[in-house]
Amino acid sequence: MVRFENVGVRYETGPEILRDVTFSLPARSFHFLTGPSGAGKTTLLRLMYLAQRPTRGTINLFGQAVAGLSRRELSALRRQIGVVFQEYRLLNHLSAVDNVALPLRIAGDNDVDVREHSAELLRWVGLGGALEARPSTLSGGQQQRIAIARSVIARPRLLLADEPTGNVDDGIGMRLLYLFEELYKLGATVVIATHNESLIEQFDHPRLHLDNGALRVFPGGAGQAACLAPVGMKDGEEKAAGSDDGKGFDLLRKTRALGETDGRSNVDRVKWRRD
Amino acid sequence: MIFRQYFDLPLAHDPVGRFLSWIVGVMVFLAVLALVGAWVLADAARRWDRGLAGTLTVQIDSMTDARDSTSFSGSIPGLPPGSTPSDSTEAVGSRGAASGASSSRLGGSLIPVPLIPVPKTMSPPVLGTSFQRVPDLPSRVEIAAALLRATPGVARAEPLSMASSARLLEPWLGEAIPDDLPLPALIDVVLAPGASIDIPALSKRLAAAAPGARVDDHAVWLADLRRLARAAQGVALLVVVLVAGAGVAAVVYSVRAGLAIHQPVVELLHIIGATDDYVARQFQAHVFRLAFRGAVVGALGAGGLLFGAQFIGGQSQVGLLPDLAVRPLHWTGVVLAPMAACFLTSLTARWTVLRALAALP
Repeated sequence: MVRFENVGVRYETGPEILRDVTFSLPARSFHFLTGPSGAGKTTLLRLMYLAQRPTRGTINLFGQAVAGLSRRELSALRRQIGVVFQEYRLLNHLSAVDNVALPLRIAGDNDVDVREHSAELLRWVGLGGALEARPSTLSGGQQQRIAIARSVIARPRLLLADEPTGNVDDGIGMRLLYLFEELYKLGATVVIATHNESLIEQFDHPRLHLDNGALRVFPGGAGQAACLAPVGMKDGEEKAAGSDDGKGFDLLRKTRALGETDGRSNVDRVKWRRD
Repeated sequence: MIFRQYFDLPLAHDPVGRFLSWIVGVMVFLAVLALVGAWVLADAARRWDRGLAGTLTVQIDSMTDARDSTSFSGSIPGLPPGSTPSDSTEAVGSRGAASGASSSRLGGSLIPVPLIPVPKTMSPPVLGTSFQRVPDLPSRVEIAAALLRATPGVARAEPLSMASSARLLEPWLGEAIPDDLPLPALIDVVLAPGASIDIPALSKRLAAAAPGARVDDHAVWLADLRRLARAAQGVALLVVVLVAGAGVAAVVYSVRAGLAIHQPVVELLHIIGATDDYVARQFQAHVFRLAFRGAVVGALGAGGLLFGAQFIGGQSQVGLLPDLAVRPLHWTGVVLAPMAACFLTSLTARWTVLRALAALP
């Protein structure tokens, strides 16, 4: 799914922010990305969501070497990646539902379907009453949920979140992590960058730890350790390791299915409450 | 897609973009005037060319004294002698023949009248010297016409009646032309197609045969007129090019400012998978709308001005002005210029955005 080999990043003539970063993430895995401030977490995420090119090394996403792709192909690749930014990066001139709809509109989906799906997803995250609200009129937690809804609306194969709990209290932070875990269970590969140790300890997922530009891998519990594929794993093996069939997942359909399974809605499952 | 209603980028609220409509409006206004002006001039030049190419006009001065046949010249071949030395002295002296032009008193004012060329070396008249009498104007016209018709390459040589000549002066002097005004006689000459005539030689022969005759070769001043028209057209087209250049520069500045203002949004769109084309289309559509508004206003303004000028020109009886009417075809400039402006500005916006986005990974 994601493979970095000897990746290094240097800004102009300064020191390397990332040095010889090598790792491979299989499909349908959940990883925390940790490290002290300035360790290069955001830079590593930016490399993963193709907002930046490495100074050296190679990056493979979804079985394709990023360096050899055209601009149009890179855009197509980005549409398979969902990103939750620390500062949300919502568009304040658009309503909540239009913000969520953005990735679908960019993908060229039908406007009516886009609006319907976006509204449904917002209802799922507990913002059904704020469809037309401008982000600036909503609380931080609500904005965070809009940002998360936007990141998953296009059924990304890779979901990246940069300090998603950084601007919310621990309670809301925990709910957010539950939501990400749910998305992981629905088939996405999830990477969460955070420095909130107390929250991380509540989950049993492997950890990518960055320190001074170098990456180390700490497996989670015994069951999750296998998610951290060894370097050199083939793309076919990655695919076999995860259940993602390469087409992403139909969040809304599966969401309904989950809701019907145990009689509880996903909103109940992650104990969403309107802020 | 250019009229797509949905904008991810809040470009409509940009203060920088608002001036673009005004700039495009002024540009289109100037471009329409310059373009239509160039076309009108080209059209007029073509008409002058068509009307005057292959023609000559021979002008024979009346030489006021031709009415009483008392004008004398020192050396006019082929005309019978009979003038008196005193007459000759008076005629030559009073008209300053040495200078080649003189003045004839008419209605209390002096009007320049070209004189028969008299050699500067001519001695003052002396009794007994042979002088030749200048025939009257109609006779000289007949002589000149006959000479012209006999000239190889001349297809037709028709003298204009004095009434026709007088009508030519109506735009300047009105209908009430004084009877004693010494109007020159005119001979309209049409050359055979492809004929080449030695104009200086013809002029000499005419002057010798019919004193006071001068050849007005239209080709000479037509060439000047063509040069003038071409220069005016060149200036007009230069104005159009400069206006277009200024418009392009304004769009580039406006779009760059828009990109700088909305850099976070553009980056976000880029990260979540928007193609360069997707972002460029939004700028393109925005600039197109602004340009369209300005272009319509500019074109309407220019069209109104042209219409007004044509209306006033049509009402005016001043014949001094050349015929520079705006033809129906010229009105296409009022439509084409704003269309071209919209096309050019939106393409410029697209090009500017694509160039800027190329810097993103």
